[in-house]
Amino acid sequence: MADTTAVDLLGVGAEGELVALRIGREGADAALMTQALSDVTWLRARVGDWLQLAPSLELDPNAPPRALLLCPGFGPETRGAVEALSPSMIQLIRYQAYRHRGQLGVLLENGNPRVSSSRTAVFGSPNEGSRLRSESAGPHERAFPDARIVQAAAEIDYEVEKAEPLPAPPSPSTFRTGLTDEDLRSGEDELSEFERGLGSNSR
Amino acid sequence: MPRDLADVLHYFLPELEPDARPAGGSRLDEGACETRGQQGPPAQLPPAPLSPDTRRARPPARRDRLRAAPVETPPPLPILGIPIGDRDVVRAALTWNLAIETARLGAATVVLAPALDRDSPLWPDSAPGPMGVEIVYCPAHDLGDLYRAATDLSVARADNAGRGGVVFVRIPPHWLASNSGSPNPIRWLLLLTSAKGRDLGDAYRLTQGLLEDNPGVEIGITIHGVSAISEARNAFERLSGVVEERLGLVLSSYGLLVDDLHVYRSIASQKPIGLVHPQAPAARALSDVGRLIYEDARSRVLG
Repeated sequence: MADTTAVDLLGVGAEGELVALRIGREGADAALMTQALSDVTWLRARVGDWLQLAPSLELDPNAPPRALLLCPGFGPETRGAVEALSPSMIQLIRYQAYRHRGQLGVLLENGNPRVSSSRTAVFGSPNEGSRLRSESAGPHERAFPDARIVQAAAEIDYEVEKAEPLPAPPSPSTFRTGLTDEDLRSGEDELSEFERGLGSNSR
Repeated sequence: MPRDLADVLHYFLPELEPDARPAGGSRLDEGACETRGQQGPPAQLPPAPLSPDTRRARPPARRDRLRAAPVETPPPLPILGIPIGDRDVVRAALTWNLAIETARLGAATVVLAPALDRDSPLWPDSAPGPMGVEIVYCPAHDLGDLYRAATDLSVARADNAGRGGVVFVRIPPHWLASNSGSPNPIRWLLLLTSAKGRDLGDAYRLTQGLLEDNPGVEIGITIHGVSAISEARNAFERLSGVVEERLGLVLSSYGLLVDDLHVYRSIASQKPIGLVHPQAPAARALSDVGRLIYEDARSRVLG
């Protein structure tokens, strides 16, 4: 759906507004910006259709559609363009993938020029359910993507690994796992428990 | 409020039919499970979308705007069959722990087993256990009975499965053998096999039989009892290579599981590894495989 290219994800925000989400790679922010503006126009013309198609979505016909852009980074032109628009029309979100104990996760951060960069939402593995934590609440927090989220960065003991380009083409193997060999090694507490068990059995 | 495309997909593709069709009546053990019983009339399809030309030529009639909202019918939960022998407490423990791990991820998960398991040591208490995972027993005597019971359960539990779910079904292996020649109604199966050559051979023969009974079957493989990823990968690649070459079937990988001390403690104590020892390698592996299962289950709804 949308005028020429398909919206990546379409959702309903907390205020009952239609939200179009587009995800892009590094350097694609300018093109996404154009598409997002087109999406908002396209959605605005079709709110009535959606109300008729899916009344249970609880859309608010008076809530203007908006768009979310997810990119690893946004250039100054994109951020400048967002500043020229109404505050909530386009929301910029920077994302970064990470791995923690075999679990893949995504770190999301507000990229809007009007929002303080100290506000950080941490999203863990999209398959784990949790709640959003951020350093400060704001009007966009409630309307943040309906992604599944995990504990705040401050409460997780992990190191964020910056995604690096693969040095070689991916393996043709179809074997799937999110684990590393490190995950399969027993920790010190496990070994201690084993030794304690040996000691108690020898009495 | 819908959370993802699965919750609104049926508005755009109303012709999609769920994998499972509700049976005429419940075959489930009345004392051990819940069911919605008879299904109501089919949900009313939403009106077709208006094209711009239609909108311009004919404004929507007033009665259209006053039409009652269509009844939402959530898609039934995917059914995952796992062959587990009558005394195979290890595979049963791994299955139960996998069910709990998928539930931890937000899935509405239930384990279905034949009623003959009720007095066996395979499963813990049937009452809702950790994460609300229930063991449900059904008076099934063959694969057909088991599938009908699983279908009922998948439809019954779909209402409260806002984030999807899975019905894990324990299949006695001899029912698969006795069903030979008849179509196997359970189309998504998970085989738990070790990396040993003999077990891989058994998995191959089982795959061959399943494929003969249902050419459209989807078979996943989890390698258990390994201590290194390379061990599991090599075993899976050996098996999948032979299956693809000789049978023309592509196996799906569902990672690896570790059979360490905690698995056996879990069997004895009837406590899930992921909750009691979350940092153990076995718990991490279970979490990873649970994630793979849940993601695939969701993809069956999203398309």
